[in-house]
Amino acid sequence: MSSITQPIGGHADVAGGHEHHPSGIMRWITTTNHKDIGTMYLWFSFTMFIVGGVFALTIRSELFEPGMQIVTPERFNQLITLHGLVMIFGALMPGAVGFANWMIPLQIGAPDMAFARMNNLSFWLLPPAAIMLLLGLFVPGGAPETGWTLYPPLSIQQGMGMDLTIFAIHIMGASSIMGSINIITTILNLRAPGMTLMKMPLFCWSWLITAYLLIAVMPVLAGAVTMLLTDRHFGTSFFNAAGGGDPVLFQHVFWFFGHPEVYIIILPAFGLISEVIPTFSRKPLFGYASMVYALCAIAILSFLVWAHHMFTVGLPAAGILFYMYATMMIAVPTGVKVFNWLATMWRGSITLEAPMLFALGFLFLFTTGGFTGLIVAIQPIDVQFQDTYYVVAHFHYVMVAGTLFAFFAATYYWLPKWTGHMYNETVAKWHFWGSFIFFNVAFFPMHFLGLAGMPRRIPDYAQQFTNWNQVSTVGAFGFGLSQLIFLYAVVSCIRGGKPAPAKPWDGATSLEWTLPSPAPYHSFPTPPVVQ
Amino acid sequence: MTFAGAVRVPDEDDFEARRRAAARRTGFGLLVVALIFFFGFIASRLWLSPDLSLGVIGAAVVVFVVVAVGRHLRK
Amino acid sequence: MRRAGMDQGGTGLAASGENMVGTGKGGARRRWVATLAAALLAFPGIAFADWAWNFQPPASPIADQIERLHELIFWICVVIFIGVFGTMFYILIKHRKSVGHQAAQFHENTTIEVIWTVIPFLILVSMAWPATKVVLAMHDTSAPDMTIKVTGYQWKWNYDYIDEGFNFYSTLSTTLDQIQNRQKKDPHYLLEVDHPLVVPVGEKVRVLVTAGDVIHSWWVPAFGLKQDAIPGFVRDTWFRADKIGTFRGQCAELCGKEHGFMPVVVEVKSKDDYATWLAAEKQKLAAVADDPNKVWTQDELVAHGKKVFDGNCAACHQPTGTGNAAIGAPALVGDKVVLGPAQHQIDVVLNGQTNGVLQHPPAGGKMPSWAQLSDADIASAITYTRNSWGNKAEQNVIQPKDVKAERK
Repeated sequence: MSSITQPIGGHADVAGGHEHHPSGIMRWITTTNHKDIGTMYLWFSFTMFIVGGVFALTIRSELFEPGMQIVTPERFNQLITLHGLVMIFGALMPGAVGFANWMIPLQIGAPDMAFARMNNLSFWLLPPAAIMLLLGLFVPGGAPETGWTLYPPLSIQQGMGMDLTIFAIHIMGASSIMGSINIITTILNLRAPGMTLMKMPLFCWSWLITAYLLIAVMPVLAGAVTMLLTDRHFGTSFFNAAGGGDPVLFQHVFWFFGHPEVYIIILPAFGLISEVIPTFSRKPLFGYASMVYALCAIAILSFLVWAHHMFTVGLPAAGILFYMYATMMIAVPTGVKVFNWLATMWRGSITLEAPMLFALGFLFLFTTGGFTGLIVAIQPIDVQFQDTYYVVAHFHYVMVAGTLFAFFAATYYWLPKWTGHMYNETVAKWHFWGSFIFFNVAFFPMHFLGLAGMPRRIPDYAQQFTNWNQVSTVGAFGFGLSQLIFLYAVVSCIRGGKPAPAKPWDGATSLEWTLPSPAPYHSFPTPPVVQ
Repeated sequence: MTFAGAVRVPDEDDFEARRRAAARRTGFGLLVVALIFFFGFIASRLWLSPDLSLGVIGAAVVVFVVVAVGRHLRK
Repeated sequence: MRRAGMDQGGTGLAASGENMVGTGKGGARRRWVATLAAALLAFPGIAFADWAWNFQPPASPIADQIERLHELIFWICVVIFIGVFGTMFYILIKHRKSVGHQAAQFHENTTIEVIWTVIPFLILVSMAWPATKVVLAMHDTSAPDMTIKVTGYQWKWNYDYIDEGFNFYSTLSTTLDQIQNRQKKDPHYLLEVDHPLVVPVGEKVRVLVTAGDVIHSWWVPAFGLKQDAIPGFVRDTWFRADKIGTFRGQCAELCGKEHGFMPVVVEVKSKDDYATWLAAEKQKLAAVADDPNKVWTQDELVAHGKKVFDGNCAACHQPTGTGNAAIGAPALVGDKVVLGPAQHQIDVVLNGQTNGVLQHPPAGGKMPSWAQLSDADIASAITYTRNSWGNKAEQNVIQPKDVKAERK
């Protein structure tokens, strides 16, 4: 499939093995190597996942029983805001970019990303942005009490934590846009000869579409928060009702960003799953072309459905019907993807290693989240569910069991390529079953809470909600502790383990498996030729 | 910096240089798009009707995605 | 779908209230064990209200339609779910390498791809049709029997009977002691108010919803009615309660610190009872109507002021006037605004304040404007702060007319 000419021997995780490379901390600060940057993105993502997880467990502890016990209501609201922002902008998005950095050049036969120095910058913008975001907890007035949606006029009332958050979003947005430009340019211009777009692994396709979505919507979010900033400090009235502004306008703008954003988070996961399922079914992906078209259809539809997040603001009936129909339509391409994955497995020769287990967990739970998504797409039903725990359950099924499980699948899938060692299958399976079971214990009861009428974002609740909340809290702690198993699995794989062959999975076909494990520090200096 | 009668650069360097130029063009194009979205968005809020501006930007995004990806499909 | 044992009024607390109260350590540990056991067994639909897991019983035609629509779509989803995952588990059992299954190498089939694009589309159309009918019914606000304007404030509701010409505020009546676990929790903990909305059964009530500061959302699950309350906009919606009883909901849009503590309580009365209530209410209001020139005694002001203070100000400044530094609410005990010139304090109460700088609406501040309270309420609350908790202000009697003079 390809010809590889560079010498073997570079170690991605051994510093100083190369000429012209600083060692120690300076290696990581100055690196322009896509593998180093990918590694940093992934560790950053995991760190933020733990931080956001600690917030989540604090929230769940407070909700263990009625009455205020652990935090004050205002601190509770701040934790909710930060949990959302940290998980979305700190954990999920950088995680996906980490996989893109590591794997896209390897999968298309490119020597590195197109703009290697900009790549370094887009990573190093993230830690300061994250620090600014978290600093909000320690300034007078605390972090914003608005939830991650930052709706005015509430966000106009907040203290300086809000300004820190706005600037953090600006910086993270700039980082995302640079990352996206890099990814699109790499995919469009740096493919190996013979690697046509329609031969690209689906993961690259999913990121190509995602990067376009990012470039289209991150500037809109940046614009919206900039207008919020001028409303707060410079006397404009874009959103301030009392000054003649329109608070609903912010919601339109925010969700014009926010809805594509959820696809930005889930599309790379679709791509990762489309790599893992064929490998462990030992069978080519079913319906490659329709998978690509489904990705495009989802991306385009994602621009047309934003107001389904605003079904209770009082839209006219015609508007509601349009957004309801458009939202329901998304079920079609999403269904096509699920059916294609099943058809890929159909009559395959399936084995259940950890990556495949997580991919199946993804399929099962993401689809469940898809069904509840269809239910909340129906506006009259959504009137009962809007801003309740039903919605919380729904989006954790697609974000956690969807994207996060796909990240776990991909991590186990590529760990041998990254580290040169096989991970411990038993530990990984413990991680899977712990995550899968406790995820459901934590989040399934939230459907019941929402049905029974418990609003989201409340620090204290009426007593008929007590028992399911307690189940949920127990599940949340179980889920959180299960992630320590993941940390152990990854660290022990980096430190040692059975040496991994170049292609540890006999069903894998893409270009990265033609490289030795671990992948050399400089791969494909001359492009391989793809048939 | 070539002139008539110059020695031809070897194929590989030529390939590299062309590739880098192409990458720069693509990257610059995308950056311009992002900047237009950011400033265009705020400007349209200030001067145009909000409903119109969202529609225009939404349509532009769709056309942009279709054209940008479609152009490369054949390659 | 079955419904867990919910009583009339959609709260289902009568049975649960008793065994859920008390927050001693032992109780907490017992509940942990019970919860773990229940989580392990995980049998659905246990007949205790604490395990409430389905819609509250509908009390309006719209809520009823929503519930039926949900059941229809829920069961369609369940059927598809079983089909899809039945297939998945079949594949996982039959097409495993470990059972010796060899991989086929096919990778497309246009016919089947078209089928599984078209069929879901048709299923969606079959869902969209009934949904559309409900959407249109919910938007039909024509020909109401009465109109009520609901205004959300941080953190209470105002109900304005537009046709009758009076309005009142409705705030949480659960005590702080219960919230902070110093007192046994009521059966309707957090879902009880001092002054519920009262409507007659069977009449079409048009509801105009708006807000005075930030966005709130007025939600009564049993009526299938949730409408965001947006400052600067008045949205209209409607309900027709078809059962007599008390129905409880909550604010459903994050609106700041006390978002979880602003319930909605609606009492639906028979037409006769409603007429009686209305007459009594009007009489009561006439009796206490502000006479701007009436001169109150200090005792009257302090007594009334305590009620106003506890209902509105104590959430931040605490019933004891000690304030809450975490949210920037200063202690009123010995505060220089409270002990200083009365005019300044009236200004602060009327206009709100941020970090000691007067903020005129609309800029909003950490302390919201309380201009919506009556002159008498504000005068009494201020008088109360000036004569309580050891405070002895020089100007210690503020009359309603003083407040009136400060309003712009």
